[in-house]
Amino acid sequence: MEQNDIEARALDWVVRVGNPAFADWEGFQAWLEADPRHAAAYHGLSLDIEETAAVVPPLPVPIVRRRWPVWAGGAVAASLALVAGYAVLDDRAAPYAVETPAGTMRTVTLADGSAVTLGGATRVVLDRNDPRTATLDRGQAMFVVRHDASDPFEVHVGDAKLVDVGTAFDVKRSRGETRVAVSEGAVDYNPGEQGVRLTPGQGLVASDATGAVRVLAVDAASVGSWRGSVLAYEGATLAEVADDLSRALGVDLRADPAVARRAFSGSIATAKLAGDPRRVAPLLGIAIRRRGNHWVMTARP
Amino acid sequence: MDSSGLEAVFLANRPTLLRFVASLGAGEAAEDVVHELWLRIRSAPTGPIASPLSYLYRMANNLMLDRHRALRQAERRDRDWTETMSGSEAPSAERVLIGRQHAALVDDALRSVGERAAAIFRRHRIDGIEQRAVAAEFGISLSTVEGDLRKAYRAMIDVKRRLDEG
Repeated sequence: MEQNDIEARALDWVVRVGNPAFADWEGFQAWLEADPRHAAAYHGLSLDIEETAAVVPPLPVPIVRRRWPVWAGGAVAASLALVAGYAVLDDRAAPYAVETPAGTMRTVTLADGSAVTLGGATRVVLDRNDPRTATLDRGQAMFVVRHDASDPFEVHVGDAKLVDVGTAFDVKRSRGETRVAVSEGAVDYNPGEQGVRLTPGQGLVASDATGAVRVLAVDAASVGSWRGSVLAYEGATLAEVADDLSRALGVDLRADPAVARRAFSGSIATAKLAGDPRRVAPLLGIAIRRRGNHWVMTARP
Repeated sequence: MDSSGLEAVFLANRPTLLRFVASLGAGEAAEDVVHELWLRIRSAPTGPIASPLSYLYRMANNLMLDRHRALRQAERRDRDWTETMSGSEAPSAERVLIGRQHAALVDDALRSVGERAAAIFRRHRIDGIEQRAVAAEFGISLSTVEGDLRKAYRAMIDVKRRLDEG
């Protein structure tokens, strides 16, 4: 049957185009142009897969005697309200932490269909009985949330609260700073008198020490690009880049005071570094060398 | 490559990108989509890009996926609104129960493709790891990963259709 053939080919394209290294765009276009049903099939299947993947329940947590679920390497995920089965009956807070080691990434799907992707060395606290709340203790997480104006998704970070007004935003808490960047929809930072509403292409930096909050422009399309192993920067300090690379690669990379405040604009494809921070040195215009048990960015000799 | 470099590649290839967007079914909105692409490029100094034209194709592809996603959600909202107005909305406890049953069926469908394919699907689609990295993790070839993903995707599409009919 012809529709089955179209679907089989469409599925093949969905798989191949899903590889970031895909380059046969002309071949893809030739197939699309051959019949209008092809594009419809490609999009239909892409969305069907996306929606079904969003409701795949996480794997059950092994029972351990420690306080928090232990990440054991692989696809272990914290159990969520949908699987625990008490969401409707018990509305006391039931917090649990999800934590990643540096050099890894993990996506947690919540009971309402929202998703949180954690970067490396990140700790997020969720609530079994309330899928509409999360706390970012440290690290970086991208939130893609189901929008519900009557029950907005809230993220607590430090003393601040982010309330979702739309769908996709990135939060980073590290080195005494909180950074938020909005990709889709909008987010209210500390709604109320001192609140700031951020829309796509806007971001914010808040300093723990001074309490100062600064709104800045970000590239909406590259918000959360670290989930695809690309770190994108526009005038970020090398200290921040070192911190992000540490999280992404699972190494301890620091910036010497001499170079820490230098600004960098560009993209780093972390997969290409193959875990070796020295490979990024030419791109950043610095030297990277081993010092004791960690790596340091220094000025070139 | 700074934004002006990427913009130069865009301008040199604008007709090609327009045709690509049209081939993805943009219809009369094709110019709007290409304009949106241009806006995003302009506001983004992105640094060294190995294959700028491929990068632009991918951005265009993503914009069209976003567009179709939004259209589908709008259609659903319209349908839901109609159902709500006609008084056929299920009470919320029942909806939670249906949600749980659906998740269990989706889980069964994923398991049915076998342990490795299910694990590969989770690593790629849920954990967000790219296909070559997944191949390395599992110690298999990229084409084996692609085959497993095709199997898993097929199962996901089939279970979704059964649930939608249901």
